[in-house]
Amino acid sequence: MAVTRSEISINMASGTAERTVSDANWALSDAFAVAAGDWDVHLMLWSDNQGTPASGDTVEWRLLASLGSVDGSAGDDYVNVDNGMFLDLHDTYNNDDGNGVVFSVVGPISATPEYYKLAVKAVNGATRNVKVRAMAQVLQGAIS
Amino acid sequence: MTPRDLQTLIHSTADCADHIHINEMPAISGYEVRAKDQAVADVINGLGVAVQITSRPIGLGTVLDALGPTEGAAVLDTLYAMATTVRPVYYALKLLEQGGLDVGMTSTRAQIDALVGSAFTAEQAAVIKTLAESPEIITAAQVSVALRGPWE
Repeated sequence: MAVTRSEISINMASGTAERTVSDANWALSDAFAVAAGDWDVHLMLWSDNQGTPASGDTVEWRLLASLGSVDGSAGDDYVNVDNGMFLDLHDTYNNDDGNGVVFSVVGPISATPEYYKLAVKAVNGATRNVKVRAMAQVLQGAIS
Repeated sequence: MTPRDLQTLIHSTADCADHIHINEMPAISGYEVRAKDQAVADVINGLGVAVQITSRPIGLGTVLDALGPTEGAAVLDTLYAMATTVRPVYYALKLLEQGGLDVGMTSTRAQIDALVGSAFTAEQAAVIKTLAESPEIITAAQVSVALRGPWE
C-alpha cells in the first residue's frame, strides 16, 4: 500500500480558518481529528501582526489533546490550556519574515490521540491584533 | 527610564523625528521597524542624557574624594555637628563610617536634597548623587515599547 500525504484543515475560529486575536487571552481552535491510519502529524503555524510590531509582541501556541471522554459525561475532554503541550513562540518583532509574518512547522506529533485543538495567545493582542492560521499534514497508509 | 519617560524624550528630540514609527502609521514589518527603532536608540544614546541609578554604597573616603579633601572635610564637619540633634544624619553617618551609605537609594537621595542649604550646596549634592548614576544604554527593544506600547 502506498504511503500518501494528506492535509488536515484547522479552523482557528468557529468554522473559520483565520482568527484575529485581539486580547491577551487564550483562544481555542475547533477540534481537528487524526484518523486511524494517519501518522507522522506535522503542524504549520502562522502569525501575522496587524500593527507595526514592538518588542514583546509574541504569539504562544499550545496543543491540547483529547483521548475521548475521561469524566464519564457526554463529549470529548481536552487537556486544559495550562497543561497543553508547548508548540512554539512566534516573535513578530525579532523573527518575522520581512513582512510582519512568522511561519513555523512543529512535529512530529503523536497520532494516537483522536482529536486535538490548538490554543493560541498573543500577549499584546489588545494593542496590536494578530491574525493566526494553522494546518496539519499527515502521512497515511502502512509500510508493507 | 520608564517607557513613558523614554517616549517623551524621543518625541522631544528633533533628530529622532525621521525614524519614529508609532501605531497610528501604516504597519510595517518587524524587520523594517527594528532598523528604525535602532536609529532612534542611537540618537538617544548619542545625547548621553539617559541615566540609570544603581546601588552605590559609599564611605567617608568617597566624600573626600568626590568633593575634594578640604571641601569634603568641611561638609563632613557640618554633618557631624548636625548629627547631635538630627537623628537621620546621625544614622547616615554611622553608615558612612562603615562604607555603607547607599547614595543610589531613593530615600538617601531625597535626604541629600533636603540637606541642600544646611550641609551641602546644590552643586555638592549633585556631585554626591552622581556617584550612583551611569549612562543607560537604550536598546531598540526599549524604543519599540516606548513608541508603540503597551506602556503599562
